[in-house]
Amino acid sequence: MSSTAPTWGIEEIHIDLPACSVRIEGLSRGQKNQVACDYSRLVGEPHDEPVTAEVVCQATRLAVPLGRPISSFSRNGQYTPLKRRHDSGIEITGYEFVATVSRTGSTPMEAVLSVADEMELASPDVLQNFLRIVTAHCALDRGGVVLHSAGVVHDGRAVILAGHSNVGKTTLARKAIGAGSKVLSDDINLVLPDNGEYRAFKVPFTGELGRLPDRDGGKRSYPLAGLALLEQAPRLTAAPVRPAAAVAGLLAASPFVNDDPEELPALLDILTRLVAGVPVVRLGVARDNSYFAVIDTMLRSCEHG
Amino acid sequence: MVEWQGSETVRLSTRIRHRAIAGEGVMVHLGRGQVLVVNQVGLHVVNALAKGPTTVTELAAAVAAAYGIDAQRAHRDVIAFLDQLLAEEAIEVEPAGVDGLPRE
Repeated sequence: MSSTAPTWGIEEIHIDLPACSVRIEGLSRGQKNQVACDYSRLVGEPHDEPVTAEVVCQATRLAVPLGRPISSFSRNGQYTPLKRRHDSGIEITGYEFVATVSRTGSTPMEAVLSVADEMELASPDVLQNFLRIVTAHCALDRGGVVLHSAGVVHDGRAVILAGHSNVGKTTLARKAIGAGSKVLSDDINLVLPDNGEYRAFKVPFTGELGRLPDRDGGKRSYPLAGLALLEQAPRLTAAPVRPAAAVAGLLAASPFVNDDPEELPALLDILTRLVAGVPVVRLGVARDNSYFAVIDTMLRSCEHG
Repeated sequence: MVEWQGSETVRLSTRIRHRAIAGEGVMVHLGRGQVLVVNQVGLHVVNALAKGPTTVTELAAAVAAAYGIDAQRAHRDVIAFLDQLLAEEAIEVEPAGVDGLPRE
């Protein structure tokens, strides 16, 4: 999937994401510096040994700005780039960018990311959204999944609370921070299998809480203690979920790939294995429930489910 | 709302993907982004629809035979389920012909 469009320069940078390593080529010096600054913990030093990239992306110039209002990318009130599936991959159109990603099974995965304005490329609306989508697809290739969720670390283990927008993920994550717990993300979390268990990874993508200084991402991961399908409720409740309902709930919380007919069979396989290996509970949370009450209730339900 | 007669031909939407998981079914509507969970009987109906278009009467007979329930109850249950699937745009229904038989 090569592009004949002109690149921005001759610089390249390597971003070592938890689900895949991405090399972006064709950058200007300014673009490279901005990406290096935003993803500092994940970018290799110049003297490091070259790393084999699983995704190689060409940064190219769009001849003219797309000129589409950001409102045209709204889905359920959330900014969501549009995806179109081709035989050989996916085409993504977002606010001020277009991208293509090959999905032919060959390695490395080839991609092209195009913007009209030089410094738009490193902006969260462009690069971060592009990397989110790439991460979701790469996670599937590794038997894992990206979940629209809040992720917290409790006693060294991760708890992932999946749910739709405005269900209370950010509120719960704020409470976790207030209680001194580590928050992986209040928006997007990555779950990957690793040596017979599932682990949760912090990804370098911002949710509301991602604007805090700790947006480092990184390879550090935590064993997954449980998954919750988060709901608003008049009082705190937790109940185990049957496998089909668990898969359905998690599938609804699997952005970027759950509406892709080519990826859906793999996603269903992965979620079926995930719910067989990790407890899933339906967690009803009231606004005034404390963080510790929520987590303790959930973990008790996981243990007894 | 369909006034079911029994001879309508029902087909699964091409936008639906489904999977059996631990005796129940998960259905995904690719266009609407909806995810449905169906019970064992519902999964039986969906599996039958996945094999090709069929009539309500044939579906009810298959459910009655598989679960040992009387034909009337099976017919009622199948129609209630098909109404749900129709509301979710998971199936398409071709009305019966004027003679009450499936159209050729």
